[in-house]
Amino acid sequence: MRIIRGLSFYAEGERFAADVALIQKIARNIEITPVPMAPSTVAGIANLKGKVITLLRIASLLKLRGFANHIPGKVNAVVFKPFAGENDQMGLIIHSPGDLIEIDDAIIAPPPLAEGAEVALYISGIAEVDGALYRILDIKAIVDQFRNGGEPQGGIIDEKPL
Amino acid sequence: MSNIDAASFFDDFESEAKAHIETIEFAFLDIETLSGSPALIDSVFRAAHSLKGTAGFFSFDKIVAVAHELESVFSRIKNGELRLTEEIADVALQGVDILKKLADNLHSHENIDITYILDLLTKYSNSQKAVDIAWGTKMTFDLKNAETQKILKAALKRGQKLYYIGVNMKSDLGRYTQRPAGMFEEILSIGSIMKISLDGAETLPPPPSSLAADVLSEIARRGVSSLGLLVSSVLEPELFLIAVELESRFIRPIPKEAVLGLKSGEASKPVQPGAQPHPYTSKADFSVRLDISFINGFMDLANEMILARNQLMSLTSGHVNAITGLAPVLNSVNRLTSEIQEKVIRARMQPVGVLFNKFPRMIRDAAKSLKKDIRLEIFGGDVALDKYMLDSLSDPITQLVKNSADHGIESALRRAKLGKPPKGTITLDACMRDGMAIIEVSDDGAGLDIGHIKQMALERGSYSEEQLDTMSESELFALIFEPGFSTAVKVTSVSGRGVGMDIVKTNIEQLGGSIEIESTPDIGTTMRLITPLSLSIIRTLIIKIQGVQYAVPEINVERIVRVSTKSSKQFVWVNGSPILNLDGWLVPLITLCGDAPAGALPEYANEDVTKCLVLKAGSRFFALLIDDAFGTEETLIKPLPVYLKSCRLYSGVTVLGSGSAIMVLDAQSLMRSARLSGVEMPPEESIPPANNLQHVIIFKCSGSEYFAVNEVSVARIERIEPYQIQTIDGGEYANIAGRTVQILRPEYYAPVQRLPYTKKWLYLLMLESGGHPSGLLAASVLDKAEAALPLDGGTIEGEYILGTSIYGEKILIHLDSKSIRRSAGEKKRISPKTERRCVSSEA
Repeated sequence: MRIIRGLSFYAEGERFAADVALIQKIARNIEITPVPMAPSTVAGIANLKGKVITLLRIASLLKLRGFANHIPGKVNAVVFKPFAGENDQMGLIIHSPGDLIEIDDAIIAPPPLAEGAEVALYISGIAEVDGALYRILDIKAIVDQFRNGGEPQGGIIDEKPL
Repeated sequence: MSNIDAASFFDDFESEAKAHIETIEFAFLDIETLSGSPALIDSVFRAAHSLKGTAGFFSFDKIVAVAHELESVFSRIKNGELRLTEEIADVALQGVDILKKLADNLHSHENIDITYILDLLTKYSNSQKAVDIAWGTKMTFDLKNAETQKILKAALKRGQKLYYIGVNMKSDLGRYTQRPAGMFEEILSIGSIMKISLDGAETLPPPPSSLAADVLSEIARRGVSSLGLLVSSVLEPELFLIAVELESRFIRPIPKEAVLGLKSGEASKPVQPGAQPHPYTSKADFSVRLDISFINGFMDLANEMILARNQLMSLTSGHVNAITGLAPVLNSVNRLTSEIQEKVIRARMQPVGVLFNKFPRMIRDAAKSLKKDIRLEIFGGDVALDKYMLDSLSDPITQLVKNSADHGIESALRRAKLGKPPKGTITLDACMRDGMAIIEVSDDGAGLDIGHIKQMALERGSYSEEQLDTMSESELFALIFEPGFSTAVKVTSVSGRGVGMDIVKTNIEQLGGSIEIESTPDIGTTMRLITPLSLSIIRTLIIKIQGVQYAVPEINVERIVRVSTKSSKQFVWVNGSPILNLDGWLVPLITLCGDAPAGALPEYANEDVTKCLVLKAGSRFFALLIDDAFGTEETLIKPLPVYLKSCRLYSGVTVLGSGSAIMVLDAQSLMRSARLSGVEMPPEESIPPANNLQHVIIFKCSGSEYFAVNEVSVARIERIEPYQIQTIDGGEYANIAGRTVQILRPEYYAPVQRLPYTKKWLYLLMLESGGHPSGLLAASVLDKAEAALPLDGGTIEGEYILGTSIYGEKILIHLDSKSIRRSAGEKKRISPKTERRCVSSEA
């Protein structure tokens, strides 16, 4: 058995957790600038101590229904450390951070079948801690998916030679 | 290849090899200097030698073979056996080309044929068998192996020298062929065998006494053909060779560096009886190589510091007097932060000489193939540009230099007829001015033929004869940059290899630069590239669209216009797309709006008055609907985050002084994503007064007169305080957002009163750019209005007055902003041309 230390957070009315070792910081009240024509998962960009962070919407990522477009304003976000060889950092917009939780990896259940294959890609499993269910996000998978350009792209206009 | 396979060793080898190759190439480009300098010949020889050594260590046999032949040739030149001729230089340079190719393709040597060059070289090297340079015998030991390292290091510690012996048991044993054990005995008498490999597989040596016999029986048993030995001995290479009595090519000294760090400057060299040991020359090298991402990290930190400083400044602004000693501290924090940022930006810069240095070779080759005599002169190689900038400038400059050689410089015969020196001169010159880099490519050749350019323009049907007749010289020259006009380069061509000057221009403009041409028939042509020093820091205009801020590179901004969407005069709908009517110039309008496709006019635009930005992408124009435009800012452009790579509207991101992260719009992509082709700028003269009405801006100066100036010619209006105006050399200037703007007082250009200004604020009507920024000084800006054309002439006359019209009860004096600007520009313009011309005429 292995204990994973995770940070729990609330977003879109649900509980999530991510490996705390991958998290750089929780940024509160940061100013987000929307990016028109960006993939729908990208909510915008923000300046975190001179670095430009791309902020993603969990709702769009996980195909949750009824998410709203962010207008310029302040948001809370979990910002992840860059993976080896990466310069760009990514953050997820959250409602609020929760506690640090310890998850015994033996109790992590695979994502339920109801989640589409595409969505299941980003969730490494579901765990119950102190009576609450957490979806554990696979941060590496999310970053990889984007780096490889595999994100279904919304709102992009075909480039046509003139 | 041996087991030494770490990629970094290859990288090190590659950069080292290239340095050696470059040394050789450079020396041979100027054989007059080379033949007169024994030291230079020696350095060439040493370069070939070191290259051979290092390549041999990595078993790059082909490099070894070519380098060996080059070394032999150089050695003969050095010893006076061979006279250095142009022919030899040609062959040497061909060798250099092959070496470059080999060094570029370290891992796919197979397809590169070196027999041809070896044949050529052997003619001069006087060596019998060119390819039989077996001393690149494969090293069969992994020197990086921990255990091997231990043994080798221990031997080195005892002051021993290390050798590798690689022989084929059947063919290479020489006098030991009959009794191989004799070889072992000889070796053991002068040193010790540390490791043995049989057919490339390592085996540890048994105790020395039984060694020879054991090894030999093992060899016999397995039918081994190749034997490798790692030997340590106190003997110097020359003596070791004599003692072992094997051919030198089977023996290779292993340099200390190979064991201790594999950083071998002077790597292993073959043992040659009688070869003079070369004095090891150590060059004091105080430079460090850094990864560019490391420097970029610094840049981020420096930027963060600037932001923190700005916050500190605004927080403390009210308390400076309350806290004694705070002011000087703040000042130094302020200064230091700016200096750090500047230094970090410098760190990314490289001298333009790095780029220029590839041209001597190119000119030499071009001159040969064109049968012309051309000399290349280089000035200002120390001007530093951002690395990215340098890389991007390489192609355009190559193009221009080629054009000069090909089309600029005339044949020797023609030059003789004109009384020019037979040798043509191409000059590359770089200098810095006003924070921009100016790179000139000039030649003393035939110059552009205006008659021919006109003829080409007529043939293409893009201009009428009347239009061409009214064009200035520089406008005519600029025609060669038009797409599809590339054939016009033939105006000076003998060979007709006309190539896309439009691409050169587009490339330069993409870098935020511009290009100018000066040309005089039979005197020469100068192409002047003016580019920012760095792409990372550019001047951008900050705009807002639907509440979101963006940065647009200033170079792409043509003008900002206020339009009324209700006015059918200013807005036309064609096939459902909005078109802006700017006094008869129809410009397609796009919007950037959430997830809606660019192109549709969103609801929010239906306010009475909106602002539009006319953007320039290359030579095409289009308009973008915006909420508002703020000032310009020096912005540090960062690359687009990987998460946004797929949206092509942006060229990067930047962090504003206020701390917000914003996107940098890319005009070209914006135009493309809206599926626009944009429109061309109408030739200035042909902006027709569409409806006999002209939009004018009405303002007052020091006196009571009312002035009007065409709205189209005013880019924007800036507010300044009188103290900002400085007088320099008879002209008046002001610093507007970091740029020097020439102040033009309308009073000086019209017969009106000149009174002192008493107001606290004054206004500058910034005139449409083109050359130096300038602005008309006004005491107050009153209104915008439409003035009926034609204007009344005759009432008030003057060189700079277009006419007058009636505005309410007042008389408006319409100023001719173009001629005012021109006259001011002529007085003040300092031509960089004058200095350079002297150099060419000396030549």
